[in-house]
Amino acid sequence: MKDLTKLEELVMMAVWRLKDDAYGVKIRKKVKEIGGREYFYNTLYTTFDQLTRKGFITKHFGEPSSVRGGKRKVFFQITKEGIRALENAFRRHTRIWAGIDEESFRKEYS
Amino acid sequence: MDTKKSRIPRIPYWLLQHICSFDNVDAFSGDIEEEFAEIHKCQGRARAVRWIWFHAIAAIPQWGKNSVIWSINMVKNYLKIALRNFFRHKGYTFINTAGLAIGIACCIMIMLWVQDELSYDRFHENADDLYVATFSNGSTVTPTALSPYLKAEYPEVIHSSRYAMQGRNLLKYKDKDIYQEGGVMVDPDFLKMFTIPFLEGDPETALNNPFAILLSKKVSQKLFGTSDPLGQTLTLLTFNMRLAMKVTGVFEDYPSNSHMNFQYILSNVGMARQRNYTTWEYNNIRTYVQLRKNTPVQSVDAKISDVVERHRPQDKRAMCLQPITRVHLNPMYQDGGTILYVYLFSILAFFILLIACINFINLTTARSSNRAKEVGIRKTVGACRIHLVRQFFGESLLLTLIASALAVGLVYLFLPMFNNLTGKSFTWELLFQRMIVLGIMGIIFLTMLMAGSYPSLLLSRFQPVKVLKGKQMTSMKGALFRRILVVLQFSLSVFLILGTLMVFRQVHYLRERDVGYDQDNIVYFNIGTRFIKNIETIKTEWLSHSNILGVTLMDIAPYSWMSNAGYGDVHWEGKTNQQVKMVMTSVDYDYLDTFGLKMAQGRFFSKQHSTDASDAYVINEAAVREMEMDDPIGKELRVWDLKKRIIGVVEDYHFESLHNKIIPMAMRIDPRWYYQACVKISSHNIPGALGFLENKWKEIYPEYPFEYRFLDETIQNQYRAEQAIGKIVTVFTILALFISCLGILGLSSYTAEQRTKEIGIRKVLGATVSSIVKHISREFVVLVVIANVIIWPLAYFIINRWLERFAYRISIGWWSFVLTGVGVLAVSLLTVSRQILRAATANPVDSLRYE
Repeated sequence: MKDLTKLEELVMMAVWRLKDDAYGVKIRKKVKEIGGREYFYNTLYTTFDQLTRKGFITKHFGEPSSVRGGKRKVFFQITKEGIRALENAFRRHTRIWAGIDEESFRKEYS
Repeated sequence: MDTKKSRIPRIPYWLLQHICSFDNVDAFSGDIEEEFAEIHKCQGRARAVRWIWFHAIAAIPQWGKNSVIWSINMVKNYLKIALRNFFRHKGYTFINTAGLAIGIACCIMIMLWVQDELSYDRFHENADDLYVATFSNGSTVTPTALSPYLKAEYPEVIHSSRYAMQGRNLLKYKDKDIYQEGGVMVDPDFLKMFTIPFLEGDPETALNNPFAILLSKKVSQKLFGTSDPLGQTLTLLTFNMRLAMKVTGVFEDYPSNSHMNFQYILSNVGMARQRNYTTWEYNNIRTYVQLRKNTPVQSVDAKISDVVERHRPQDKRAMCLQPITRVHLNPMYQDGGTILYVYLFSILAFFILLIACINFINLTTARSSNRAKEVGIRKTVGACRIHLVRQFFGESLLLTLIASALAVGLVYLFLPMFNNLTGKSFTWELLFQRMIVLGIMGIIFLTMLMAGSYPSLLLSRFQPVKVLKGKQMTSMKGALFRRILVVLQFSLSVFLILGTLMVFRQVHYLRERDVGYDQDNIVYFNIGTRFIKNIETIKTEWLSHSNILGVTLMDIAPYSWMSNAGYGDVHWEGKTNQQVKMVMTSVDYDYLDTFGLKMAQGRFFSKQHSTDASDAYVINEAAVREMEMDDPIGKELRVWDLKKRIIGVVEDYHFESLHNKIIPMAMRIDPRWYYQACVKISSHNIPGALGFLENKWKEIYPEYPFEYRFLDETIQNQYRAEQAIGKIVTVFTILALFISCLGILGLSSYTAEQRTKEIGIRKVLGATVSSIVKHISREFVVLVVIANVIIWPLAYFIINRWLERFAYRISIGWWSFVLTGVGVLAVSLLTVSRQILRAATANPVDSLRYE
């Protein structure tokens, strides 16, 4: 299994946290919130496609609503493989950052 | 919420939808709309608009990168496959490219010609405001008083000039003299109206002096060489005058794409001062005017329509202003105008291109099964139909580009020949004009569209399941379509051949038709008053030479009459209310004998009757017919304002070209109007007679060279327009037939190839070679026959319309049609027979071995 890229990780986390409400607009906001900056539409939606193709998330259609000009939403859901990939990523992160806390950086500065 | 205000700006929205790669566009757009609406609500429209633009523009770089990488990859593949196909089927590629190259080359040359024709007189800066006064019958010959009158009376007219052609004159400077044609006499306004770049001198004042002359660069170099001509005095000799003229300017040689044509310009200031120069009495010069910018010409036309009639009530023709840019194209003008030929040639060029495109379509679709597997594979690995359409369009574009490159080469090679045919002088550099380059691009695009559309749609329609399973894709529909195209091709070819045949027959007919007078061995030349005064001595002296058979004077020799120069108003004894228009000509006593005319009634002018010089008309039969006179002899007749008695009726003869019907004419004796002399010489010793004439001429006009022409040559020249057109059309026709034959050559060789096995089986079962050839060639014969039958009525109709331009014309005759049909059939049979014969004579063992 391939490692997730930073952006993929971010998107996956956003989807995971949003649970049943994970569709385009909400995901974009969540990504902005946890990622700390705004991503382009193009970049984000390419990532959706990639993740879908890799089988980490699945999509299903919601009901059309008038706010969206009568267009349906696409909701995303994390698959089992997706969870596994996230777990992998988490383990990697903990490995990489093992034994490091804010204190360690402060020591280096002084 | 106000729906209109909350609407998403269309451009960035469209951009986002189309360049972002997201599987579900609908949901994607929905997301954008939702977020846009939210921002709009919270932060205002300006923010929201900025937001969507930001995202749209940010998406571009990524998209650009993706599409370029992929398209380069695909184009490389397309190109490779296309070239492989081209090289594998060299024969078909050759037929396609050769046909297209010839077609495009024809189009380019025609485009050069058409563009040249349409460019006439456009180079004048004021071209849109310049007009020539024209009578309702197309004549531009107007009274001298018209020009100053128009300028004085109508504020819309800001400049006006008379334009009097001077013909040939002798220009003398020191010991040099040249006999120069192309002199015109104009008003000083002329230089303000027309764009004539000066090399030396001041255009403001150049023509203000009564004896000012402006020379073209060419004439100036001939006379003065490298020395400065400005301010020099040269002598201008006409037959009747000797004038000292001062050179006040030198202008750039006047371009040939103008209906005007002059080499030197004389001021008419001196002439205009003479009282009898400005008159309404008769028409003898052209009148040009310049209107104030943006004046609607109709409003001026309405005011001036009766301007001549007001001053000369007998001339009822309406006057109007004709834009100078249309004069050259106008069919009423001189050589018949060229607008008709502009249309004709454009259509011809299009036909040829169409025929070449049909070849491409036929050969590509006929061999479509060869490409079917490729299409199947491409579709299986994910190509959409649009990709395949693009691929095949690309292939036709590639072939068109190769053909265009060849075509440009062909144009380069054949341009001198084309110049020869058209009498123009196109240069290779002209191809790089902006208009022509755009035109060539247009032709390439059109060709690609015509040739590529059907094959690409057909080929991209194949269903991968079927073609990969090996089902044959040669549908009946495709074959029918090809047959229709072949019929169309041959219809066009037959039509062109019939057209050419008719042009040639008509021209031949005109040349051979009896003009009603003797035109052989007659020379004619211009004369002046010195000649006319001494005419009696000249006649006795010249006629004493054994090879001179007749000498006579007249205003204009028979060939060159232009009846639209003006008709007289006619009155006669017993006139009821017929409207008869009549032209008048001044002749000499020996006119009848010199031209071998015959009298129908009465007698010709004779010196024995002293009244003949002042009180006698001889009219032609056409005049008698139109005036419905039972017994014309002795009746009084008034033409213009001259009342004389009719003494005779001459049999009709063609004093105009055969384009026109013989119209009523009256002859009179009037030495004041003699401008030309005709001399009939014996056919035994033409050089001797001419030498004698030249010597005698030198005695009368020592300063002038003896310049003469043969009447019959001039008459033949009248049909040179038709002859030139005939030649060009012939070339086109041959090319069209050639390309059509290339097409069926390709188709027949393909058919033969496809049916190798069928032929093999037929032979095994006992068919003879001849029966096989008959069987296969019948297919093509039927098509050619259908093409003939379809096009005949249309061709008949169009040819008939063309022939109506001629007063005297051939009858079309069914045999031309049959002959053309049989000819085309023979040529096409000859083309296909070789391929079919080869297939038919092949040993069936070879073709059936692999079953």
